[in-house]
Amino acid sequence: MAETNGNQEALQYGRIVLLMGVMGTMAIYLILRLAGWQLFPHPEYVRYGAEASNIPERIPAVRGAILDATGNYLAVSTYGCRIFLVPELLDRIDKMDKDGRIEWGRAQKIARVAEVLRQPVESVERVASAPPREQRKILAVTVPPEVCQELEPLRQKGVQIEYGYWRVYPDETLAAHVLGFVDLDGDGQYGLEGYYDRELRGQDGEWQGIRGPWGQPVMAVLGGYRPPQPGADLVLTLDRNIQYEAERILQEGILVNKAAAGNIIVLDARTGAILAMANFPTYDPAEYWSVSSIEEHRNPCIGTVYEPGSVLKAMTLAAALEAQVIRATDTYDDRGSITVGEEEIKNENGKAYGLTTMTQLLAYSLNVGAAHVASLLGPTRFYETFKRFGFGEHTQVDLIGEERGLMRVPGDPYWHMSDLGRNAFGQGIAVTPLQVAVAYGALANRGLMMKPYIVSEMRTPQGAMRTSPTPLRQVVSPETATQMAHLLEEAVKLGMRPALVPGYRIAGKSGTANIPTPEGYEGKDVIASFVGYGPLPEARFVVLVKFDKPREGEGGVQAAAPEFSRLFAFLMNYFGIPPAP
Amino acid sequence: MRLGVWRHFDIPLFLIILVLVLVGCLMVYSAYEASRPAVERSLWENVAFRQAFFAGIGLCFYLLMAAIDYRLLVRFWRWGYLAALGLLLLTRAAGSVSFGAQSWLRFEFFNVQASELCKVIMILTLARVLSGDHYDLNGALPLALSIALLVPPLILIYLQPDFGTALILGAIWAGMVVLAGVRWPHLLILGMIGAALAPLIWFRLEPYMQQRILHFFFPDSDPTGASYNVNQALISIGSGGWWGKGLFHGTQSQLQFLRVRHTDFIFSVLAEETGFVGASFLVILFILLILRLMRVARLAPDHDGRLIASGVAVMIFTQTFINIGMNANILPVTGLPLPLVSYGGSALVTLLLALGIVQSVAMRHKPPEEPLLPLGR
Repeated sequence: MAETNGNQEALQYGRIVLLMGVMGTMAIYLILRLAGWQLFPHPEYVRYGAEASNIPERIPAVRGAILDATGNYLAVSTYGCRIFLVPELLDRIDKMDKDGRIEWGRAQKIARVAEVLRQPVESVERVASAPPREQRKILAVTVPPEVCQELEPLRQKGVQIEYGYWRVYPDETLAAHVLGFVDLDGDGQYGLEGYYDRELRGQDGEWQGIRGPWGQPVMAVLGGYRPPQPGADLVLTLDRNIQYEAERILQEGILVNKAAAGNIIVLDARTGAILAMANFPTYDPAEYWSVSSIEEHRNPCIGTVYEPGSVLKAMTLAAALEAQVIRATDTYDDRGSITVGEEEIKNENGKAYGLTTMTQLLAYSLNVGAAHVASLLGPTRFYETFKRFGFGEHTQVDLIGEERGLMRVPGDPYWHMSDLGRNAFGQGIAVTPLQVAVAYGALANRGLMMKPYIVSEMRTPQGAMRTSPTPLRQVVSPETATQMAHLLEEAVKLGMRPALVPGYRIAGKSGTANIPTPEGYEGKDVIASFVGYGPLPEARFVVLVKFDKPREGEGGVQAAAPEFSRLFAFLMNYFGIPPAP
Repeated sequence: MRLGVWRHFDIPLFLIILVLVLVGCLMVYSAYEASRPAVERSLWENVAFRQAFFAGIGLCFYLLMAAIDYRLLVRFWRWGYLAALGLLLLTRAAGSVSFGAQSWLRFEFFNVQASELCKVIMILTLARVLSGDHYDLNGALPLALSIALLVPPLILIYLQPDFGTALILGAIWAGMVVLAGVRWPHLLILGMIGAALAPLIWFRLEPYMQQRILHFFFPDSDPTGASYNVNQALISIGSGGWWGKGLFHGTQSQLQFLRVRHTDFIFSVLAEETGFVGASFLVILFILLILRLMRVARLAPDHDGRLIASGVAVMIFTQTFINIGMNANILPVTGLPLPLVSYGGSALVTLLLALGIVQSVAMRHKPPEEPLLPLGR
């Protein structure tokens, strides 16, 4: 045993040496490996590090605000969150505390959300159960952050919360079509949000540098930080108070006349500044998705064309006066019908008025007279003047989605001599409400047409930029404009008395136009409008009131003129303009 | 008072261990505490303090083990082995029963302790079984017995799942088998049986197990995904240069690019902050430790002592090599801490306990004049 033990010991010594040899080799390899890593450069890792830190990151800029002429916010970006509901997660039963003793199902969750957001449970339930089930539903926008905090426990349990700067429209639907909206992607759409999107948006900042493993910025690589440039603030010519009054009057008018839709434009004729632009129906830009059709986002004052009817008789007469083919004091023999270009034109009531003055022509809105004057003028001079009035062309207003309308002129394939007679009283020509208002603005402003605009000032961190009024062209001479003002003033007194504003002299013209269909002018629906300006002699305001398909009152005089009168009286009062002596 | 066996206390061995433990505390402080914001909190929450505290406890165990004759421990190997197996089974049973989160944490703590302790007990067990004092090593019995004793804890630890510790256990066994002087032909036959069984076992494995093993041998080369830690470790080590960036000034570690920097990747922190010089110093310290342990093995009075010392040496070496190899991207990531240096209370305490047993062997390299404890020989 002793001998084998001795052998055994010798053997084990040998094994110890063997094992130490193996371990020694491995240790040497380790040290060599370390030396290789630590003492020689490794460009591929340097590059990997550089690439990882080379991805620039966006710092979103805060979108500029939109203010009205009185300095009130119409649109502003504030920090808060949006709340979405995820129906599939909402239906799950979740543990609401650590121990799992409290379990909430759909009913409890919805009750809690409704409680926190101070909404009725039924409305939250309605949003949650709207199809399709797979899609998340937006429930609330621009919720204050501290309120969102209360919903945090429901995150991942059916409620989605997104923090950020969101658009707030403090006056809700006020001037919605003028403002437009910011969509969920942060892009401005329609109206000013669309037209001035680039300016409002500002310039996103950029950060480029090294981040720690948990994403915390560690240091910016040289020149790797560019602060975000906040967007410009827009100050509008639009006055919140006038806009509010215009929208109120419009809605009342629509109720009284049982109309389908309507528009009101208030324009400062001397500058082209738009003071109010009201539409009905309207929408809330903060919840722009809750419309029945995206057509409702379009601003009808600039984006929808119509046949204006008799309001254009003022333009026909102005053209004839300017060309001196008639004088303001002239008369004509109204036989109840006239043929222009092989088409017979009759008065609305089919009557013949006999010897008629120009004032009577306007007051009774005689189609025969307008066609008579146009045929005296001839197509060349007629259309030249109508073009100067801006029909068939963009008004160049700073809003998105403007239509140019349609006016066929001699030389166009579908123009016919009969168009002259019909255009003379506003038929067979498509215009936008703003085009009409701007054309009347030219008459109001001594024949000089001003470019319509709505942004009076753009405020950037670098400074403020004011818009100066831009004259477009002298449409008619000041003398013609004066004569027209006189004619229209007398015509209102004679035939459009509901438009009169006690204590002030105004000029204006009504229009009652049939609505064209592919089958012609069938049906009893009309578009009733009234455009007027004043106070004379130095007119400043143009007001256009238009109702689509009124069921009662029918014509422009009955439906639109009273609303014009009320709004104009408000304007006089609002601006403190004393009544004429 | 007479010194007795303490006269032979291996002071260099003890000093090397002490230096390693101190380096560990320092690096844990640098990796975890140096860059933390100064917030009022209790001392116990300071990770470096905790490491130092456990080092103190571990050193008490070290001295206690040194005082006890290792032969006394070896004598109770059966009980020790059964206790270790019982602990492992208990943690397994506890794991399969559903507890709350807090009890699960307690279970996790327990689990680590069980497998750490198991390594030490296996060294004692294998020393007893493989030493020529009790069985004839020319026969195949000791080898077969050692395998039979190894497999149950190995499987239990692997199923935890703790692949790293299972690997260490296997390495300890292999090292001790070779050192014990098992005949080469026997080892050769064993190797051949293993090679023949490997494909059979492979195809009986669950697919995810195969995946795990494949992943072990062929880890992804995706730089930002799976091997994020390894890449960060390489960047740390590589950016150290000759002298490093200075203690507490490593950008990789202080800015927390390194994730498990106070445990698995503490070597990278050291390599970054103290450079090649510091890293080599640590490696040399470990080499000195192994050499000293092997010296104890060589001078041991009996086979039991020799195998204990060399078993501990193999354990420390394997763990060190795997950890540094993982840091230096020679080996795949296995999640093994660096012995004596990495943060971890139970690992530190059991390791010092094991080293205390080696010290006990060293102190008794000559037959004691007066046995500390009455032992029949």
